[in-house]
Amino acid sequence: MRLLALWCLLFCLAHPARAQDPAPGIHVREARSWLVDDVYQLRARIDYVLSTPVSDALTNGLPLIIELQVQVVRDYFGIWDQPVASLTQQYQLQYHALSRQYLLRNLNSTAQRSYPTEQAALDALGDIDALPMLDRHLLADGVHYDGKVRARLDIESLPTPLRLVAYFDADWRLVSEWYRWPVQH
Amino acid sequence: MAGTALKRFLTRSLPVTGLFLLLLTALHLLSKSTTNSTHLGGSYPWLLLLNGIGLLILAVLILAHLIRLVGQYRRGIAGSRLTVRLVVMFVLLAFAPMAVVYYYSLQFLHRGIDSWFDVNVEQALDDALDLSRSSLDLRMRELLRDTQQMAGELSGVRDSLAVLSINDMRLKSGAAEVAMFAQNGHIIAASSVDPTQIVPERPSTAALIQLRQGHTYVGIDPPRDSGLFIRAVVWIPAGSAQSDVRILQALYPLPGRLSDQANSVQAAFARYHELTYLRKSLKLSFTLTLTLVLAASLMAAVWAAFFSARRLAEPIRILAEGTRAVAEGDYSRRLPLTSHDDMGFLVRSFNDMTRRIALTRDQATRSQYQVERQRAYLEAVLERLSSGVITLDADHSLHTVNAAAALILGLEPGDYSGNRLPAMVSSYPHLEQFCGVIVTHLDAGHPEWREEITVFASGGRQVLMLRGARLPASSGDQPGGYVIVFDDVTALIQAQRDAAWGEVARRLAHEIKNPLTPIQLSAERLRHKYLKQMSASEGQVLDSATHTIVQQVEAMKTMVNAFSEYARAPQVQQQPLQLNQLIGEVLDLYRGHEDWLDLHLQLDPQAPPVAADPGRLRQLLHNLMKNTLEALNGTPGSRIDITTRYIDDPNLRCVEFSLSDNGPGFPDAIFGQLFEPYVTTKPRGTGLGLAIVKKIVEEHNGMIAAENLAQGGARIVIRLPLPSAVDATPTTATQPALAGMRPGST
Repeated sequence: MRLLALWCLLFCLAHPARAQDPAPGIHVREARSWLVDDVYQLRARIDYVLSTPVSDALTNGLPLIIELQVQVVRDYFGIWDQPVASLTQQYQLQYHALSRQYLLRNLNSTAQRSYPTEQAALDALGDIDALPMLDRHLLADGVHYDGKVRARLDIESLPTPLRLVAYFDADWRLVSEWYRWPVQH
Repeated sequence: MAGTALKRFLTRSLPVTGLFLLLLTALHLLSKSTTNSTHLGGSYPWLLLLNGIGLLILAVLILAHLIRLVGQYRRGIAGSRLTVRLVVMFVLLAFAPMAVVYYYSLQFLHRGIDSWFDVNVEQALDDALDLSRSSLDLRMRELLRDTQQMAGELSGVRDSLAVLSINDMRLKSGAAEVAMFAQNGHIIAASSVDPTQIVPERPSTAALIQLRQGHTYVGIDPPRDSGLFIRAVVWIPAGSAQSDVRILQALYPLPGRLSDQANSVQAAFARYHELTYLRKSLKLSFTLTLTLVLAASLMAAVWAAFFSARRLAEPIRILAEGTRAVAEGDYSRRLPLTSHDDMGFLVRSFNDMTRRIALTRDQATRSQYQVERQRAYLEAVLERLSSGVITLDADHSLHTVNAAAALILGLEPGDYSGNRLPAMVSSYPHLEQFCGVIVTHLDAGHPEWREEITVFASGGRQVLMLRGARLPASSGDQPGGYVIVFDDVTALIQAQRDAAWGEVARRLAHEIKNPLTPIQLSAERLRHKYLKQMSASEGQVLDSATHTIVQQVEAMKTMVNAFSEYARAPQVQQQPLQLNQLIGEVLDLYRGHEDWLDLHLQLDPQAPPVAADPGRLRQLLHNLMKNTLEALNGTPGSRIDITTRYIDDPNLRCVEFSLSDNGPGFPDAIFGQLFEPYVTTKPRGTGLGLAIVKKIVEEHNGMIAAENLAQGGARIVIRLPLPSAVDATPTTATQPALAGMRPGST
């Protein structure tokens, strides 16, 4: 037992940075929906931590496509989900060398913002606020619905040579778990 | 033939060729998608999967071929070794240049990709970017100063009037958009060159942070559709203690040329860095594509090697199987003609050869069958011949001895092939003269010869008539053998002698009997006329003389009658006769001598009737009994044994009669002529007793033999045929000899 504790101590001393750095990946921390003017709007907090190769690719000017998938489903006994509405938002994150800015563009609305750092851009990407999901009338009264959200890095949009690597490299497989929440209505 | 080849091509080659073409197309598309991701980028994984499946199918096909070939090689199937050799050769021939091309292609590919990247180019791009930034920095500082100046002018202006001032300032400064914000970010006044842009874009968080730190913000705005913009954000100082500080944001468009140049530098920089980053991936994907092309080509070549080797080795395999079939004696195998080239010629020649061999074999079989049949025929003829036939090889070794030869020569049953004549003499000493005569003629080199010899075997004297001839040479320089045909002419000579005696007897009877009666009558007349006239003494002489004459004439008459009886050829009336019964009747007449004679009968009750004339057979028995009793001559303790026995052998069915005594036996001096007339040891015998017995036996197609017994006495054996076998049973020649006895024919 003591030996194990000693090993753990040595490991922590030897890898202090690794112990502090969050693991690469995408994690939906929180998601909720509100009814505003008969429209359900989504608010979510998503943590994006890019792996080193992905971050390098971004720094070297490669545009990354990040896809946000939102679904409203009807849950059947916890076994099977019937999608009622699906929404996909695509964001393009790209480094602009001349301005030293990270450009974040919503490919659905073409709205674009710039950020001085990668982390600022990722934070902005992870801050989903008031995203319209669906009209309230599309949901039946008295039925329980769940909302599901997840985000992923779209490998298919990468340049073909890089895609071959991305297929077989776990560092490129950035995808979050589905996050569920009950849709209140 | 052409249809079969086309069908084979369509069923075997076409699917694989189609697969290969499909694979080639997929590889081409994969190559395209690798170099140009915009067109086929989406289908890249599918193309990769398609190529992988194609290669897997080819690999499975090749593996199946390989397993099949290894199995054939292990089983030693004809043509498999050649196929293996051809496959290895083809694969090596395909692999070696492909490997070289692959190696140098990879080298060229990697060097080609590396050559895109140059340190100088990279440095130049960095410098160009820095230069662009420097140029923009200068411009940004100017615009920041202008903005600060505008902020100073707006200081103290009330919010309601600020809208007008801002619009004027925007027009004067050439800004695209000027906006004033409160500290909490609310828009107070704004003016834009774009009338549709009602709400100005708020300062970015970074700008606000910078402002709060007491600095001003100026920066290049991210590229928009209308080119690059410079954004400047400064504080508007409060004009009085009551008023609040405001934020002024101005958005200046860059001049068109400068914007284009900056964008161009940015695009080139970004593209170059992207390519630099993708260098490894590019190499990997190009290498993968090239490797897939090589693998597909190599597998196609290997499959083609299997296919070609199999096609090349197929006729040879067929030929080898045909040759094996011929070696195992199957000449009916015809090989299928698969082509009209040299191999086709070979196959046709092979088929012709086997056809000819089959014909020759059939002819040889027919000839052999005919020879065998001829030989069987000759053997059958030889075995049925009454003449003895022996053949000799050129070295005087026996080759053939037929049954009659063995019978005449008294050989034991067996195979005498290969025995030399001297060896035969050592086994059968009585053949010394027989073999000597043959050897003499053979050594003399007589092509044909004839000689009569007399041999003395255990059965007695035999007169053999030998005829020899040289056989034609069987083949080439091999000398031919010899054939010797011989007959036992003892019986023939005896028959001739008997006939001569019969003729003598007939003539004697005729010539002598006629004068006897006048002699007797004359003697009686002389006696009757002159006896009364003569004196007593003279009369006594006359009476004695005439009495002698009459008596001797009577004796001569008796003798002449006996001759006449012997010479007479009566008509034998054969009928089924119970021999045992006849023996009983005859022997009843000889009862009454029990004081000195023991008559002992042992008759076979199973003996069937024989074919015989009762009168002649009765005479035969009387003659034998009379002859025996005379031989015993009243000697006390004499014994006569009479037996009958039924012989039921497939080759001989007869009833054997045997009479033996314990008398003195036949004298050796007359044993050879025992059955000839005038041979007698008795003073008053006519010498015709046994001669008549033999004659009667021969009249009944029977057989007679005599012998002296070892314990003393003599024995006579007579065999009489059964009624059904009378006609088929010859007298002497085909009947087995009475072992160790003197045949009656001598």
